[in-house]
Amino acid sequence: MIEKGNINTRQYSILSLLFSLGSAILIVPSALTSAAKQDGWIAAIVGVAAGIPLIAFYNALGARHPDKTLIEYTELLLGKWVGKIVGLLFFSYFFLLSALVLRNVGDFITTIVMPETPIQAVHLILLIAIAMGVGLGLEVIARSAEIFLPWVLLLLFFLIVFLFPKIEMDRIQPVFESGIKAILRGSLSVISIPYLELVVFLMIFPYAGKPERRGAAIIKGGLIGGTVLVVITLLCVLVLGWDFASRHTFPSYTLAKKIQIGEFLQRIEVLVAIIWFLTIFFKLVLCFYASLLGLAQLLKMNSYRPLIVPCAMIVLIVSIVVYPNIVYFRIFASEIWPFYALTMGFLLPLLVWIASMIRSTGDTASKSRPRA
Amino acid sequence: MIWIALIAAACVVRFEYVKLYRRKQFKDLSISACLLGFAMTLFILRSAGVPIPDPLDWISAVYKPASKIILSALS
Repeated sequence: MIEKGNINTRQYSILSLLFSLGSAILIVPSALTSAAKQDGWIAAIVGVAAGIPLIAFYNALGARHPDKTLIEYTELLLGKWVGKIVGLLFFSYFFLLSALVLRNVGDFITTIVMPETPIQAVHLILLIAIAMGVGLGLEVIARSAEIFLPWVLLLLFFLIVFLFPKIEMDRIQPVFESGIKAILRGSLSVISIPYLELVVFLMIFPYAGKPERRGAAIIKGGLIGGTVLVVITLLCVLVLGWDFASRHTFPSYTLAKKIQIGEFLQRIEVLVAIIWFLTIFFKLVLCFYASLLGLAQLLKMNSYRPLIVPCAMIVLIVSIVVYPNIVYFRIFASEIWPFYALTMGFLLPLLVWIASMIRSTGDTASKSRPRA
Repeated sequence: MIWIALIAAACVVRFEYVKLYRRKQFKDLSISACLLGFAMTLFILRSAGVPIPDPLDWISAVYKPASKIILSALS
């Protein structure tokens, strides 16, 4: 086995929470409000409601092979060649996801925080941290997630509480004006941005504590993450208004600019930036880790560590060429990405699951073997 | 940017590959070296101003028809 680390179910749950917040918390409110207008928050609820069964499905798939990663049992179940091709598709999904998430950070910093800094410099600095994290392994990533979780929760709490005085209830009305179709279209973005990406967790599933408690842990993480997304979207609608929220690429950052308590507590939007850096760091680390582990397992290597620097360099290039401007990204994220994510995050795992049901070899073989 | 790539490549050759060579893990070494060569090629092409193909364009080309049908049904 390439990864020897073991994390406990609590850390697994924390990682899934941070993963489902990262990038979604800043990007999704805008996609939701532009599709479903003031009903964006209903679309978010629909998305979370569809996301939880999806996580349950991932657990059902992972639980059939409790001591193997997704790419390992794909190859085992689908045969050598088909399995390798499907594994390569999963690898490309994780790899592309890490490049896109990295580019999101770069876009955020160069459009909002530091407009004069070249985007390559931002990517490079973050990528060095990512490469170090991946080099140290899963246990270190999980423990650092445990350390940073209280900060993320505290800052989220401040953000939500300080915005209460700015709420104007009439912005949410008329409820259900946009209709079922627009709500479904909006919910696609929530389903695809955190939930269909949680397939990454099938790569660390075998290392996460007791097999029977893994399912509840990730569902808890996904549910809390989803609730935060719903609340942030609701606040975007209530405080900014849907038209303003949908025109901004990063509405929750603009949302934090509205915080004003008396004359002394204002312009604390950097809180959101901190939440975002922390959560997106873990998302990025996990995606990059999953892609390297997957590639190493596909090629039957002894360790994934020799791949870190070359792959980090490729991610750096891909993250810069991946889209020419932010408008391209917004169109891509709302029109193409949900379908691509649906193929990689649902249809292919479904194929693997069906193959596993038909062959049903994994179960008996792995139960008789003692756990490492 | 090319300098950063060169420094990173030099470090990985000096620290990682020497270790792999001593442990006789030639398979890991060759896979990693291929990827490093690919990454360096990308960096050189980029700094020479050659346009690098964008994977998102391929994905868009594949999913555009399905996306149009489904999204028009939802609007």
